Amino acid sequence: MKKSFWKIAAVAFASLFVCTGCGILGGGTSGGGGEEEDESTFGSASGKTVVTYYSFNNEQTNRELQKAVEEDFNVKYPGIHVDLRISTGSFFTNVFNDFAGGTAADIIGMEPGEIAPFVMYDYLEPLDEYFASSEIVHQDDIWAVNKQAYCYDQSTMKFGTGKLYAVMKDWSTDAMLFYNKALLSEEQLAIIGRDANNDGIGDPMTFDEFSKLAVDLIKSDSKGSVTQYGYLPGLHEAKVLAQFLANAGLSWFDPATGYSTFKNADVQNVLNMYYTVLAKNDKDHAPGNPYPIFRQGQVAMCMGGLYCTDMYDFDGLGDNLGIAYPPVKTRTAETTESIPYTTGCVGFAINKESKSKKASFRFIEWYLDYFGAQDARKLNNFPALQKYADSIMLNPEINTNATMRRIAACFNESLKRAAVIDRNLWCSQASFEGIENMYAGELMETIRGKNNNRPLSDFCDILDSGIRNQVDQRKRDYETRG
Amino acid sequence: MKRQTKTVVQFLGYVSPWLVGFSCFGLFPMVYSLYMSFCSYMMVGKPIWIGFQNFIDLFTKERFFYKTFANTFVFMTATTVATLVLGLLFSVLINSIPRCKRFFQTVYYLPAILPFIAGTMLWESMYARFGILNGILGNLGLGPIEFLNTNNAMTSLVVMSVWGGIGGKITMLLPAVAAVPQEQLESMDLDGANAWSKFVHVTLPMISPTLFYLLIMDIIGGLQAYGPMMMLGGGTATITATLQIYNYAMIDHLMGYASAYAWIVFVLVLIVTVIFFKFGGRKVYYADGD
Repeated sequence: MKKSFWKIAAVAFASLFVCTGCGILGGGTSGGGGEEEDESTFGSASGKTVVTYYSFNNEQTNRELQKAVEEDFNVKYPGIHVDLRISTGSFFTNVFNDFAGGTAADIIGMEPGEIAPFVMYDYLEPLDEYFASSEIVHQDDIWAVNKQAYCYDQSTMKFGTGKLYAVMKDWSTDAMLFYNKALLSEEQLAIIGRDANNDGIGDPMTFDEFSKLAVDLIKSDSKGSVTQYGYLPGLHEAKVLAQFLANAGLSWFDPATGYSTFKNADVQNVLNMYYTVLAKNDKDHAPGNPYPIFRQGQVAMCMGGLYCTDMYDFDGLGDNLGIAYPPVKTRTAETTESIPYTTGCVGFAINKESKSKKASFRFIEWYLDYFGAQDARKLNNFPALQKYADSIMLNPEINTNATMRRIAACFNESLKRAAVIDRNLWCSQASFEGIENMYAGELMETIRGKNNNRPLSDFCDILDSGIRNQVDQRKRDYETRG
Repeated sequence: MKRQTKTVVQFLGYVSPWLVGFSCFGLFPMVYSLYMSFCSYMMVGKPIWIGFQNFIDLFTKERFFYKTFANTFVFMTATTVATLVLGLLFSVLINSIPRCKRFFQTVYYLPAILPFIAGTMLWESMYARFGILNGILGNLGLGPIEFLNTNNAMTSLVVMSVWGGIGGKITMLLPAVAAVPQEQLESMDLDGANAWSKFVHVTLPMISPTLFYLLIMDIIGGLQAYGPMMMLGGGTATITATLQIYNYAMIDHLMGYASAYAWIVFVLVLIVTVIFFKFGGRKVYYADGD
């Protein structure tokens, strides 16, 4: 009996151990290295400082990053060990969980559309002083739009001013209107290719010109199935919608209250134009990703980023590939400025509770520099450092592909005028997109006459009430916490 | 150590692996989510007690609150009835053939082996405007059908779920059907009963415990459905309570609100299950008389 008692006790202890172990393993990240930072050890292998980087990179990107860390970063900083961790679930949910549990990584992937609660609740380390003292990355090298994306002033609760809380790792924004010249007539090309300053980028069309083209360019077979799309947005319909609103001088929320503007008649006009274009292009039944079929010549216009040229072989269209700015509501001498949208990108932020902040910043500045040069050579994402755009991408001696150089020049110009738009402190971009995705299909069915359940007013009402619910809850939470 | 104490310790030792696991990963999250349902919690800081405010908001402000429950019940009823009826039908048919039982059992079970995500993606491509189903319809001079539009989405999701669930039912029901005592069926033969009478008066009562178990599990599973809707969409035509809970918790990070929603679903599942146990259980035949 005594023997069996100890056996049972051992089994119970083992089970407790296993369960506790599961809890630890499932709990996420290390909590920032665990030791006080000693910069003198960064250059030596003794007493390594651990830096954890948590991102939603895919496996391949992470492998490439791991390889670069081993081949370059570890040579430069043998005293820092970088632990790369990728998310397998809902990234920002995991990050919130990690912060709540005190196990957040030292460096966290951060989107402009999601940053608000992290800075409001003081989870992130301001980076201004780190950049001021950096010998590798100078503030002047970072695109001005980065400030709009990641600066925040808690006293005024406004973005674009105040301290810098993150830096973009690269710019993969779906900011430009690509078109296939082979599918357009001479008259249509004259509209979309109008280029007053002769910089190789089409001046923005008006919404009327754009929506007419987007519908006129649709071709169907005898059964009514679309064989050529006039316009399909990029991978992020809601983000492109936000861009259309910005280019009409509007926003999807009221900055004073955080509530939506979907009951505003001007906003509804833009929504109506945008969803009518999508509905007539049969959007809710078309493939989610328009880029492969754009390359195959089945889409006349789409919104995309520089990465499309490499990843989807857009440059294979050669001289048939046209690029224009996103359309604007009115096009007069004063209002031809199109605002390319930029918040589809991801940046780096440092956990305020990290014990390896300086080492974390070493990794960030290394990344910006190393991958900035790499991206510029590959012409994939646009580099975070402006100097590499000038010295590599636009340099005909290095970038010998004329088509790619032309595309890079377009994006270079677009990033100079780019803006980060539509941040709502009380409702994240993902939440807005979630509501939009859930109901936009029904609105488009109604526009096509396939059902009568969801007129525009009802759709706007749903979006408004969905956002209002979240804004109210978050405000209540914030005010209750004081 | 007294013998009784030893027995208690021994018992606790044996059950401790399950007890610890359940306490950590089942009981604690449940109790904590009940607490959170009375709190404002956006996954930052600590939950703040707000009383019944989340429940009040759900019943008064949530636009599709009742719609989500209506959709949930439609989906649960359709999938439960269809999978059980078809599962039983195929089980009886497979049981009646003299050979290749294993082959058919395996064939019907194959969809259940396929990972859910892969199976759903398969159906997504089949349901597409230019998918194989519309291709077949086109060759017959019919269609195209928009399988996932507002009018058809719920039916399409039910068909997909029945396809995935029928194999599991056959696996459970086939042994039950095969275990029906032959002598009882033969005695009914002698009385001149037809196949339908034998099925209703002998087979069905004998397999009723298995059927009842499957029914309860299907009801519980159906009331928690969210995967097919999340993957294939369908807007307000298919949105279920659990999908809304997922959206509020995982996308909007309104954990208190989502917890309140989840507890309402829990109470509903509990009520439905109790009703079925109370009234449905009476019809179940247990050979040992229980």
